[in-house]
Amino acid sequence: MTTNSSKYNITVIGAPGVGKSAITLRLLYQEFVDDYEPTKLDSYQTMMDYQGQDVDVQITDTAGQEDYASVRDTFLRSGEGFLCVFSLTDSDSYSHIEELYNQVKLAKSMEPPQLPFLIVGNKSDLESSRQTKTEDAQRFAESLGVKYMETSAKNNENVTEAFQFLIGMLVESRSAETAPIESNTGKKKKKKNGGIKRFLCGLA
Amino acid sequence: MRGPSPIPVPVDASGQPLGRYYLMSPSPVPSNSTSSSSPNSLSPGYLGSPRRFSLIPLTPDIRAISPCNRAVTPSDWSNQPSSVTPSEIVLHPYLNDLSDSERQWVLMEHSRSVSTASLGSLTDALSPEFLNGGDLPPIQFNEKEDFGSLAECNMIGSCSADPSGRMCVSIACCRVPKNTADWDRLLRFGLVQLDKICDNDYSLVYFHHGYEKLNKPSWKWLITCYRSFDRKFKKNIKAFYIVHPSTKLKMVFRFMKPLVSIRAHSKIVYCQRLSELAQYVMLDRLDIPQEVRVHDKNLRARSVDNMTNTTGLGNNGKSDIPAFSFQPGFMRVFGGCLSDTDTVPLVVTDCIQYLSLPKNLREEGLFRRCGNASELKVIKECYNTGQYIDLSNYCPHTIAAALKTYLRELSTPLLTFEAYPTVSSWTDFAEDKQISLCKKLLENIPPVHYSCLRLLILFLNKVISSSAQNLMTSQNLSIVIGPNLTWSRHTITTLADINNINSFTQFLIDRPQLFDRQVERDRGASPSASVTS
Repeated sequence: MTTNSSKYNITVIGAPGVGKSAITLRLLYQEFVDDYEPTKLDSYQTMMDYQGQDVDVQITDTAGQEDYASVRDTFLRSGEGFLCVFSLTDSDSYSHIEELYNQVKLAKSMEPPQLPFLIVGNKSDLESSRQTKTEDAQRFAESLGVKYMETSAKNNENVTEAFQFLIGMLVESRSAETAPIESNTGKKKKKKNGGIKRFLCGLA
Repeated sequence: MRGPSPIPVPVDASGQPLGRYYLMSPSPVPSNSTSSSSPNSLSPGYLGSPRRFSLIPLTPDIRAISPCNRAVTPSDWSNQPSSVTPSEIVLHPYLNDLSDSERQWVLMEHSRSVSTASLGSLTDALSPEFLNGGDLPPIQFNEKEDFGSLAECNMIGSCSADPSGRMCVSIACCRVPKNTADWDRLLRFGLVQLDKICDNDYSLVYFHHGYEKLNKPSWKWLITCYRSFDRKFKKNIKAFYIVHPSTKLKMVFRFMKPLVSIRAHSKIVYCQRLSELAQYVMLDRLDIPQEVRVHDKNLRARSVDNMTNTTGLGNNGKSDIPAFSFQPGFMRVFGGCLSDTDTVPLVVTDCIQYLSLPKNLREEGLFRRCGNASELKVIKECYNTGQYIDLSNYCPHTIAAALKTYLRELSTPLLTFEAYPTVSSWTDFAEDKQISLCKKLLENIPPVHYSCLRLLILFLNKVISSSAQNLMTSQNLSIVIGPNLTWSRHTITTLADINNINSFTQFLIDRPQLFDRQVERDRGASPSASVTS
């Protein structure tokens, strides 16, 4: 088993009260935390297993409120993979997805399939008060070119899978990035010529 | 191994690169465009995106570079000038050596392509200062330098006027001191001002109006400027709005276009009117010089005249009702200023009255959950245009979001900018000092701000009294309300600042007695104190 020293960053976004923190804490501590406290911003480090490899993952749990938009935007830019959560029992949070998706796209200036972005419908345990149909969400995700999953932080359904999926995308995109240039050192490869590109961008 | 190869740079015997290099877009140099004297030196190399840039070594016989990166040699001038498409010709430093007639040719071709034949800027651009600018060292700055009068002329302002929460820097041309002699000092001042802001994403608004009146900066200085702004300035800039651009200014930018990447160029937004700028930033928060406003008004008056004289259709088809208006009697509610009125605004009393209904107070996650975005838009629109709206048709979460949005979009925050330094370091103060500090703070805010805040805090206490159902404790409420009560005009609000603001908010919510009648009487008559629901 080899250890990959580089760190992957996953940012959890979504409307307020959809269970972003619940999903994150379920993954990290294997328990359902039902504290009712809005998140401002929390960051966690953990090790995850991806195909027999230990990968270092940093998970950023953000605030859903627009009141924290300024703080969140900084993290959209530094984030690599995005877990975009909505609540199956709250259609307003579902309609919020598209706006978030556009913000991420803008912040990263990337689009799927390169952009590691996953839409997650949480609270699948509350089937009786469901407001968004699986097929609708599935179709919407396809129209954006991203994957869709349904989770329950309470019953621990699909939570690890969702994160695993993003890790998979991140590991692959990074190895695709470094492979053709054949890094001899095996260390983190900095993006080539980024400086020059930025230099040119800055001219205007 | 495939993929981008290192850039082949010809070197001399000592390993020093030969000649100067020039980055070009969009396609690699065809090898047949080389002059016969240096066949090897024109091997295309790639920089950045492989498709976009190629490298052309500058040899003395290349005089300009055509859009397809063909190097233009003197023989092109004499033989068949039309073989070069001049639309995007870029001149390179060796242009210094051109004879007058050759220079004339380039100017002619270039002006033909840009059609607006203001050759002044081009001739300026071709001056030796500009072309030799590459050797100018960046200027260093010292944070502690005292700029005296420069600091007082307000020519660089910053505020959080961008709807996405970015900092917005405004530079007003008309406020640059009229007889500036020490341009370097001006530059150092600018660098000091911008240094902190540019650690994060920011947008830049530049008011070009008033440019003619000053003594113009030299090209040399502009180049120094460009070189002095280091990477973070360039990397973090998200948008560059140029308000009231002159034809000349646009020409200069067009002239530079081939030098910069497509992405960089797309960041530039020209705004002919302030109303166009209003689509991107919140004008009320921006410090717009009076002269610029007047200029804009004149421009608008002129265009209205033109419209009535001609067919009656606006030239760009847009409606002439600007998002931002100077007409008296028209008052924006959302994004407006609280001090414009004497009483607590209708939107605040309406929202609070509706949310105070017992069934709404019991709603889980009141003020935490997001409302319906499209409904929120309708509500904003109704208040801004003065239409009647029955809030009972809407979900309480949307109304709570409307109230928060109203507070967040005020041009002066509810607790005022002056309170920010105290509030953003709230937990640094000892507990026994906090009460007196808070009282003092409440005494100093304008009466209407005070009445509004009082109403809000008393209402939030009602929300807390139902916290068994709505799960909103004073701590939870302070987290979602706090950031909307104050923010800084000059700096980005960090998470640590927000934590302090939230503690202060919780402090207020937990002590409604601070807003007792007694306190109110001490600070004199307060209008609309009767507005409690």
